[in-house]
Amino acid sequence: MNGNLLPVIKVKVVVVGDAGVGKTSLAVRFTDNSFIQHYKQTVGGNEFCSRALDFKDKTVVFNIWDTAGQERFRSLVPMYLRDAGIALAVYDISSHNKQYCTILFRNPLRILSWLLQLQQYGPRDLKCALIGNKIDLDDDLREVPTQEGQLLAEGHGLYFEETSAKSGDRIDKVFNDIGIALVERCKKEKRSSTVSICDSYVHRKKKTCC
Amino acid sequence: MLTYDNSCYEGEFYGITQLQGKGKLIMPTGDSIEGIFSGSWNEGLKINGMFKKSDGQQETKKAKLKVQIPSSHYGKMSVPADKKWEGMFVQCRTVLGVKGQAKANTNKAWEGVAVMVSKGRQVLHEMKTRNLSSKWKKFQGSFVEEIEKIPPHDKGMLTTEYYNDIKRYLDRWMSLGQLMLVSGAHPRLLNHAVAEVNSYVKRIYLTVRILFPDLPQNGGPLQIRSEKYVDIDSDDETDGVIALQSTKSEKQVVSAGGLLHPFLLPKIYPPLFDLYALHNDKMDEKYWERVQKLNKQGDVALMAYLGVDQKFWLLDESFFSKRSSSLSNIRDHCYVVAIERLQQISTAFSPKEKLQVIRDSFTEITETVQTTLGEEHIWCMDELFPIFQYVVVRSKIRHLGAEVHFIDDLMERYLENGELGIMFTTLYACYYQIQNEKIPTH
Repeated sequence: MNGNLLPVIKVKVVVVGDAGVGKTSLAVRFTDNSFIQHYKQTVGGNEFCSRALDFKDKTVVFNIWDTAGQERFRSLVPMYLRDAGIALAVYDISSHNKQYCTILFRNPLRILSWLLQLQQYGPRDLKCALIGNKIDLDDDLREVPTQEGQLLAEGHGLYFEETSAKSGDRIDKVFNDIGIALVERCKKEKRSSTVSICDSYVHRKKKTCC
Repeated sequence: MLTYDNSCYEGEFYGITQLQGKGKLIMPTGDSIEGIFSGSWNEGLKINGMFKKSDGQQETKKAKLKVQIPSSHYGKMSVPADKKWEGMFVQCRTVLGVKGQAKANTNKAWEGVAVMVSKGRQVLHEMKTRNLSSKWKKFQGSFVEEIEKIPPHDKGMLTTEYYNDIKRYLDRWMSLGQLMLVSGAHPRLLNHAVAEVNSYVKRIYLTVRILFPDLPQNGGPLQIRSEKYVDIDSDDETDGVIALQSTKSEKQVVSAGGLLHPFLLPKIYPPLFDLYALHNDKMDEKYWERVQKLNKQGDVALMAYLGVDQKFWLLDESFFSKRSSSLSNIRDHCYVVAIERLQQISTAFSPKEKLQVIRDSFTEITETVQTTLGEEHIWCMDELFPIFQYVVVRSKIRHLGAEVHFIDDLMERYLENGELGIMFTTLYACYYQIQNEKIPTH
């Protein structure tokens, strides 16, 4: 064991949203882009992503759970939410991806229904964040103005950010912000059901991060 | 007294099956009769008492909490799981030189083991003089010899090799000991059985830890590495990656369940799993009906129905060049290896092994896709879920609900949020989806 060892907080992050909005790309981008050693499991493909980030006095390990976004799998989401600490509700800001749900597209009710499902079925202290993805696309392809997402997030008291999984823009910022909030929260309430603080340490390279 | 239809009688008995005296009978509907009972279940009951219709409210509440038992006494009359076979554990600890709550001394404990083994030797010797069959003698002799070898037990640092040594040693002991579990087959007993298993694991672990104090306190989980493991200190990216891959197989996580489940569960698996099968009977029936219906379809039709993206159908060009009628006839061709792998879930006895099977099945899916498409594929759940559902449907696991429930009850919590956790949840979700998704009428 080397490097500076910090207590580890493990948190399960569930990513929800319609099919094709970039849930997986977002998770993969975050875990691939790491400065420190992440243990992304290659066994069984890349469906499991995990990455550790260092904060002031804690290391936070984000275990990212991808979900299936198709309408027919909606009833399965609550199963994935078990013991989750953070949920990211992702939507597509553009009309770029016509393949999926063209009719429902640009309907604010879509993302709202995800948020409601999170509130209804998630653990009580689940922290939700609203993420508008695909800002790398041209402005004329944008269909959802930033303000609209912001308003929605404020209305529900959520963290809000617009990202690009393709270019990696602001993905790290999202997890940094969430991580800081999480560390703060853990200080306040020493015990938390969805966030496990354990004595184990993350093994990492001697590389400085962030 | 509980019966199969969940009627519950609470009161005075005469013998085991004869009801005699004051009592209260609560029926599955929530209705109850209170009064004087006499007779037996089989021959008819004579009742002199008062019938009370349950109010509707209670009924709905009961329907929700199906597993709950109407009696307030239920379970309180029996010995709590932590107290069962306590004598045996106390005896065991005494042999190991531990009195009461005193702190255990490892060396003293091994002395205790040595004394016991040599005593056993004497007994054997006496048996020899009494002319037992030579085969038996040989077996016993080698057995004692193996046990006599005291493995190193105080290294201060747990490594993979060391851990494997401990496992081997325990394996020899465990072939001796036999544990009993509540048998009998009322689904209501399930909670008790699970509590008992968990309690055994906890207590045996504590005992084993006296002998091997290097095992993690509180049952882990603790990550250990091989003795050969070299720290990846290299700043060179590629070096680190290679080193990581080569050591991956030698990395292990130690935990109480991981250590003891493989010894304990195979012995009690049949009755325990029966309990799970009974408990999940209705759900499994519904699921099975669906699975059989779905399996009437050919590969292409089934994959199309489950929403598997066409590029993952993995059919050769040759299939398409044939007449279209043959296309619909293809059956049990796609993802066969993954399906066969998943079917092994029923022959794995511990939750961790079962999870391993699920993981292997996912690995096979990925490998199949990668060899056919010839590129590294990054999965997203949108694509992967339907494929896995296809695999689950085709594996036709008879008691999938019981399997899922078994794993869920006994898997160690640290596994839950990791890779195995998401795979397990996906299997569970498939089970749920198969049960509840409407089947189109052709």
